Amino acid sequence: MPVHNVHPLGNPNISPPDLLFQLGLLLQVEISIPQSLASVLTAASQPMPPVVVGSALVDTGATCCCVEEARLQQLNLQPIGQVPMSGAAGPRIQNSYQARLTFPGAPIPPLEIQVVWVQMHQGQTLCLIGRDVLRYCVLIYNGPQGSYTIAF
Amino acid sequence: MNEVKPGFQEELKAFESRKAELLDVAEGRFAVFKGSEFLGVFDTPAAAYDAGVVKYGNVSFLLKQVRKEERIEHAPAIFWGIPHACP
Repeated sequence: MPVHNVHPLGNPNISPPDLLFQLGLLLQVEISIPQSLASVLTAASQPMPPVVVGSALVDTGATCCCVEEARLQQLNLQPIGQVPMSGAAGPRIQNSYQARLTFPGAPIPPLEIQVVWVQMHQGQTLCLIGRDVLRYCVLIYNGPQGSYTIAF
Repeated sequence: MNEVKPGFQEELKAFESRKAELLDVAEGRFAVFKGSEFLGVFDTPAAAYDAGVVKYGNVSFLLKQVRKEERIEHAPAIFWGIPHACP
């Protein structure tokens, strides 16, 4: 099982444990259209949407992967379902899409999964990695060292 | 939260009309519907999506797991505010 040790980089004036505390478990992520859709577009001589690059936050509180809608509309994906999500005022329906997620530098292989599109409103987080992906991973949070390990 | 885009009423109706049958033969697998048309059931959501895209192209279609009860997803960070995160 490939192992990926992550030591967050950022402000050198902050200790690694504090940096990890502030940033959380971040991975670089690239989100693109599924390969089958790419093949269909290629066969139809249609342009390929650009890959969307950003940060993914590993969120053990999330059951599913969520992606920021505003930055992903350029992928021109079409919804493939509607998912009830719990919220402060009870469950509400969100659209779901099939997308391809790759994690440069991490051992997680490219994933083609259903993601829920949401508005995150703030920050630079593009995507939440939920327990639907973590179910295949070993995840170790090393607070004293300021690092985390993910193995897939 | 984003607005729910329209659609799936016909697909969901078709799914419900076949649900008992599908539960008997394909519980846990993934069904694809376009309008009232039933494309089939597949072992994985990726296989179901691929089949739907090959058949219908880049349009909306319903991909739904065959299960007795709808699962409610949770992502508290979305509703309570994403923690500050900067790369």
